[in-house]
Amino acid sequence: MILHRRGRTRSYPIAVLLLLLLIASALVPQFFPKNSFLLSVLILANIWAILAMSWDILSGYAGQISFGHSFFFGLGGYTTAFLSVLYGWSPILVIALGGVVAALGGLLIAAPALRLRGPYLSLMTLVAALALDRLLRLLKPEIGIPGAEGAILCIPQCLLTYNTALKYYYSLGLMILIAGALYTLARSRIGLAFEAIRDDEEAAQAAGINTAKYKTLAFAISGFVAGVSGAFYVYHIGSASPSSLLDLEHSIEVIVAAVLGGMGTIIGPIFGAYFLVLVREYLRFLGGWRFFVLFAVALLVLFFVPRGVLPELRLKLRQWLQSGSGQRRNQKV
Amino acid sequence: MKLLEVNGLDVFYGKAQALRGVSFTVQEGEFASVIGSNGAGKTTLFNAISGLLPYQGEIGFAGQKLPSKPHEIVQSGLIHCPEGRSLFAYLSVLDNLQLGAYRRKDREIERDLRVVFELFPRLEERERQLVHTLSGGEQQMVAIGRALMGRPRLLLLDEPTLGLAPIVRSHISQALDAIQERYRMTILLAEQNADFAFKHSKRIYLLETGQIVREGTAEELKRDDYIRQAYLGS
Amino acid sequence: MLILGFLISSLYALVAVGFTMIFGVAGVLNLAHGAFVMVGAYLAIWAFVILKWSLPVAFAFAILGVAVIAPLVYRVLIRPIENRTVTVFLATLLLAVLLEQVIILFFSAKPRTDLPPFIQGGFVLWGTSIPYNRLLAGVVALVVIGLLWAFVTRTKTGKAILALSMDRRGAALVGIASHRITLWVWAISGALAAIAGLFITSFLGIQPFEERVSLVIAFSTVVLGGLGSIPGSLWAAFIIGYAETIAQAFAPEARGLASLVILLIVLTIRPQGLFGRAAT
Repeated sequence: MILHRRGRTRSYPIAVLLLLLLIASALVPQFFPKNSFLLSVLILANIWAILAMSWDILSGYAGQISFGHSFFFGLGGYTTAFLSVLYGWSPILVIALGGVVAALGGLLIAAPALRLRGPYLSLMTLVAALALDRLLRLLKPEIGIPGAEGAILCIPQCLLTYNTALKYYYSLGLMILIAGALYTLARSRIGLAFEAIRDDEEAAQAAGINTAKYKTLAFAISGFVAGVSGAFYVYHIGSASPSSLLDLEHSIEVIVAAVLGGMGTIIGPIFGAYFLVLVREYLRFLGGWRFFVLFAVALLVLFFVPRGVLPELRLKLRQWLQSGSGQRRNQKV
Repeated sequence: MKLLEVNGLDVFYGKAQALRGVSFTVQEGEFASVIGSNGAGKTTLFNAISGLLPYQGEIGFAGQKLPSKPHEIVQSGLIHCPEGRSLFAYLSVLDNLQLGAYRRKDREIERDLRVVFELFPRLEERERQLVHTLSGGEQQMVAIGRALMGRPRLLLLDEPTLGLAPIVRSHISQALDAIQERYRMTILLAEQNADFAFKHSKRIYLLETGQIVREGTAEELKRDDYIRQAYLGS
Repeated sequence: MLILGFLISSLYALVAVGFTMIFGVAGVLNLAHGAFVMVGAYLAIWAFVILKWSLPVAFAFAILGVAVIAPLVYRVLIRPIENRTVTVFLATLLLAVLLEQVIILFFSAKPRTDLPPFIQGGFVLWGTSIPYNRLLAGVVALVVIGLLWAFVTRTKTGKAILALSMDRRGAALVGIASHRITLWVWAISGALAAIAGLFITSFLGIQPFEERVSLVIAFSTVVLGGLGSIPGSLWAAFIIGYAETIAQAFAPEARGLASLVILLIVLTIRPQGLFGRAAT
């Protein structure tokens, strides 16, 4: 079996580019202090980026294609709403607990999922999301908004801050923290084991990788991260409801984001999520056309750039830099 | 006349090279064999010839370039009876045999079916039975029968006796003799069992790690020390 | 209810058989199958309501339309990537949501109930009123399944379809051109989906996101029956059909839920389905 370890050649230009983007995103509130719509959209983009990365570690790396990532998103979100309304604990604790509950949800799914392969597994995750949706709609509206099915309004308990710029920084910080953690994880032995399982499960098993353990781990990690994103989302919008948290569209959107940015790259889905959220929120005047465009673009990318846009750009950039430096060297001779 | 002419065949599985510059010919009407141990590349060779695997090099058949797609190859009269049989497990014996004549439009399909049933009377008794309920030997008969239904100019037979009991093996062996004598069919056999190959064929090629390392008539190679020691066990 | 269950089941069977055929022959789990059901219904609505064609012509147009679109999807979208399973899987998912959007753009997301029953009226049998239209749907579905059965077991092309679903290599070696046969299978599958879509719409109406329900039902059915097994799908269709009918009698909004529950049970207890062969 071949474990293709990525080359350790660091591509400095790309690191520099990422750093510049980071500085730019840190400065956004400075340049657009009045534009709270922009900040709100960017907060959403960060939340979606976290969700897309959580999908990527499970589906892009470990190859367990999830069609029901809203399951984890919803678990995290509802945990947050409950805890903040009932106990009023601090946001950091509540968000972390949201992640933990979603991770437990991941373990719950992993148990039957270990016996399932490919499409059956995807179906299982989809069913989990649909089932949670139905279950939550049965909630009595005692602590929530009267009349709304399973909805919980948790303002002011779960309002992080009224300062949108500050909230933006929180979301950006959280997103970067998670990106760093997942990126490191993906490059570690664990990430390698995930890739081995994705590429050939039998071979991975034959090579001594405990596939059950690693698949369970992938579900738990992915669940945790997705739960955190759901928790933050509830802090952002101040309520939890089946239609805002468990919409099947979320599960589809994270797949679109990961496909656009590049599955199995962690960083790619961030860009995919930004693109998706910006198009979705800023092109509202296009109505349904914007979804048409998004899905069509995703399909085209899947078809023509199957590795995703970011890895392709990186490759092109590297080739261009190499050929450029090669020419310069030739000129000296 | 040369019926099959393979020239400089290379086959790769990813980066691993499975066949290296394999060249050989099969004369019209001849029974030839490719022998070699497990993993030498016999099945790869046959799969490449019948269009299941991409290859580099040239293959000529009946004086023309062999087409590339499996169904065109079948149409041109080169029929491959594969290792592992690849039968249609949930169809009847009769359906399997008739599908063997899928590409044919002539009127002699019924007659060829009679021929197959004469060779393997047991298949006629079980013509309505689903193939997966048959024994391994019977399944092998269906596989050979299905290939014959394609009315081959050249029949590629890959390990027809692998894993069969000695009595079934001799049955198949007799059937091969009968096919050869009665229909003067050109046959290329791939075999691990060198004794079986030498018993039937005029010409033998020895394949080792993807290369042809010996070739000659059965008489010549029987006297070759290396082959005697490594393959004939005498 | 017994009879209504039987009639609706035969429609589910149509959807499920088409879905399982594509999986069996092409190895593709076509997540856009529900979308084919939807496209069939909307083509008929377009032809009947907007172009004002007569109902039979509109029905025929819709069936033919999907029977052309489905193989086109295979030829253009799936075939170039057919060796990459995950890519194909995601591509059919994206195609499904894309088709939803196309329909929303042309028809809006509102439910449409303006596809009339093929025949009006009905009769009462043992206390249940049975509209003629539902009876017709059941009869048509059974006839179509019967014809399909005859086609795959009696004709040369049909046997080639079965052969291809059982052993791809064997099929190639007897000279079956898999791509041509696969085009046929997509066409048949699309036509079956469209027929089911027309009748389902004529009793329940349709809206774009409904296609997901059709997909879930089809998926549950073939998983219950064993992926790739046509007889399995037929039996499973009746189990699911009855479960759905009973569930809907108690709670009309639960359409699709009963099949989910069954699906969950099957997935955890016997993933290969009732009639599934051990490994595919």
